[in-house]
Amino acid sequence: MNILEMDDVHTHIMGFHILEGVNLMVSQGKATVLLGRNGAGKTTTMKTIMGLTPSSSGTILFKGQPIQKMRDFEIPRLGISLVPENRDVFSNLTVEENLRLAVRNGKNVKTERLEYILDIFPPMKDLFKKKGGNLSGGEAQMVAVARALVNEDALLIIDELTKGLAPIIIESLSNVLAEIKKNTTILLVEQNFEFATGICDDYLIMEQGKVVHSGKVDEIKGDKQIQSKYLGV
Amino acid sequence: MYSPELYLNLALNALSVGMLYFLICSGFSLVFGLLRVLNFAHGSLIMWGAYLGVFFTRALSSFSGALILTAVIIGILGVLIEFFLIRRLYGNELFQLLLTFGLIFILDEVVKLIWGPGVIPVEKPEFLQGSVMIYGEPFTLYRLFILATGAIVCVSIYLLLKKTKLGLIIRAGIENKEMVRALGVNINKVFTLVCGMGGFLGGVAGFVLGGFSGLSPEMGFGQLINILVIVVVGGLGSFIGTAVAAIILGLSESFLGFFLPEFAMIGIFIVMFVVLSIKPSGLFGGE
Amino acid sequence: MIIYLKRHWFALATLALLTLLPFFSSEYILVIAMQIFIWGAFAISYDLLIGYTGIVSFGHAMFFGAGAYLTALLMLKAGFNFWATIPVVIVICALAGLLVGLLTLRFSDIYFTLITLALGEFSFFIVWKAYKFTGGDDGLHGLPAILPGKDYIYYLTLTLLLLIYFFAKRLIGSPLGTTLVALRENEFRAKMIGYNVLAYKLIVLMISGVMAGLAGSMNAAVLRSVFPGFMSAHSTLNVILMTIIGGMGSLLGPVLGAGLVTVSQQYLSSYFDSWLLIFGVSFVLIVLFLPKGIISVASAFKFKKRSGAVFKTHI
Repeated sequence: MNILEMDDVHTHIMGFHILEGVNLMVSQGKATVLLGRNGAGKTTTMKTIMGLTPSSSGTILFKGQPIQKMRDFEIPRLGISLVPENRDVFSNLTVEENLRLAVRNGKNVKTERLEYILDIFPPMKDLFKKKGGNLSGGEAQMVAVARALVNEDALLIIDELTKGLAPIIIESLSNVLAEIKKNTTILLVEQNFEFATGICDDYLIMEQGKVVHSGKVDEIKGDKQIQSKYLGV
Repeated sequence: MYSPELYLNLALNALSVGMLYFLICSGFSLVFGLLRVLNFAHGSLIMWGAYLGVFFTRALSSFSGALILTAVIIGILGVLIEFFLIRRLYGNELFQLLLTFGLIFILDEVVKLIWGPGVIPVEKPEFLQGSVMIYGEPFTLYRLFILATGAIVCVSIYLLLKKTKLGLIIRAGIENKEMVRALGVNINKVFTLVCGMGGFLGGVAGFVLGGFSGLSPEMGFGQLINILVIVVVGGLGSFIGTAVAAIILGLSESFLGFFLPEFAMIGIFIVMFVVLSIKPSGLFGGE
Repeated sequence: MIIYLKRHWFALATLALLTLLPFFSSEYILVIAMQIFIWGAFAISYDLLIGYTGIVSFGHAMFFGAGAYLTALLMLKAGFNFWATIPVVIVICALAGLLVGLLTLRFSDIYFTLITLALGEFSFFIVWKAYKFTGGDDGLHGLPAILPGKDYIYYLTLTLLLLIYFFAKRLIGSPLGTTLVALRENEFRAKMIGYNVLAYKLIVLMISGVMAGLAGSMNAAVLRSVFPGFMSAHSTLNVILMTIIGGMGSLLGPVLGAGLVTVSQQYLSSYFDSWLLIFGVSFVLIVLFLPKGIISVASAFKFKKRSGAVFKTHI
């Protein structure tokens, strides 16, 4: 079943028509990648889903429930977590505080959840007291993802996971995503074709505010044509 | 030459004045830090705190009771202002500015309506009259009271920010409101709460100020100028900057007031121009 | 020609009315009208900054006061003829605008607003303190009458207002004007395209400063006195009130605002002690619900009357 559906969604920002009728579906339990050039509207789509940039028209269904009119802070509470493009780890807060802030039910991160996070990200156990501003790029990415795992959410939206990261870290993130995929549906925005097609099951390609192509990743895995046409690679 | 005891006395006076300024600015800084709204009406809120403070002190027999009541009422006023007025203008910074600016007129005029346009001298409560001798120089009890109140407020704010979940949200929100929302936190409620806290702090500041310098319908705007200079010197958005700048101003007023009284009033402007020429974003400002 | 008359009939009628005012009104009304003209000119200068360029200065009264004091001082202490003071006012205010601009425009919006407020207070303080020169709290009095009758002064102030209005209008319509509006809309973009934003802002500030200074000068001549209050935050508050209530970004709005505020000041104050309170409330209501000011209501009527006309009138 589709955990997320968008039907003819339009979004305007400051008068500019950014999303011009986005149609997409994300299957539950799978990892879906949203591909496309810079400026295609991928991040805007993510923000529209999260309600941070309200849509002008169209329907967004999460687990069959329409969410396009909900207020931004109500949406995560339905079970959607966002790892934003810039990570947005709070630099004045410690890593531990960053995680604690994300907890929706209760005061502290549940023990089992913490163990789960440390299983996926062993290096985190040394980072708890470090201030967000003192983290390296890879560490910040780790914390951003960990923060999104604090609540047991059904859908995890990740915007540009591998941006600016060293290849060796990108490699380890493949395993991370594979692990997370076991329990959570993932919607990944990526420009790194190799990385994305390595772990995702379904794909969507966006161009100029619309989804122009979609299907199973296996169909396009080695397709150089698609890569150059839509991703400018 | 002047004795070291005199300098100590001046320094203590400076500290108490600085503390008073800190109290005055704290509400403003807090609101600006999180909401990014310059509440020009903060000076007027403080003035209301002063007038109400004196009124309640005379009406009730309890000094501390009056203090708390005043602070709570101004706090509620802060909540109402955010909820009914400022909230309607989110996204439009210019109009938020103009709005709080317009509130000055309303708040100031109502004070004049109720209490008249003249200056009202205020008697300090008996237990705070008189002074204590420190190394042979007198230090008034009221200044000691200011120091104590300031210290309590400082510590309370620190504890709130560092040890509570609300404080966590505020600290995160000051940095990145959108991400806080993306985590599912209703930060709008926190905005309202913070405006309430700003009002509360303003009420405390006004209460203390009233006993210190008396009442006058001009005091609201006068304090606004002080607030703006301090906040600009310290760096907009930095709590520490505000505290430091408040102390600097206290020092400037205290020492200039003694050695060069002619310049006491422009002292703050000079400090401001000097600091801004060296560091345009203020001492601790990072914009 | 006929089309021109038809289109602008309202403006022309008002102008005719104003021109004929001295013939059928008391001196009291003329005095009020003159205050409206002077503050209207001052408000137009402020609208150039806030309404068209997006510069929010909270210390603009320093130019108004500067013009007034310059004229007063030159006339009283140096025996200048009023007309001779005008070029001095223009030059000094332009220089002051340049100086203030260089000092303050490099700061970001919020800092700029706060610093102009502080600068304004600072100048007020200097004028107030330097009582040997400026008469301090009491101000300066006894300026000789510059024209042989109230009627003449009336026409002079009306002329000033018209001059400033048309100059501002010309400015807005010029390439400089369109650049300014572009700046207001999106300063970042303008910078990226390569405009020297600082230079443009500096120019507007200077022009606006000169206009305000001339208005102040006129104020001194009309009242034949100057007071430190001219330079105070109170004056700036006043002009902001007028501009916003009237309608910023419209040039006519501020004049309307000047009219409303001045008239209310005169009439309401005899009925209510706190006309300012009523104004504060109106101001807040306008900021909340009618951001384009009262004049936007007037333009709405203008459009309704034109049945069928699809084209928009240029401003």
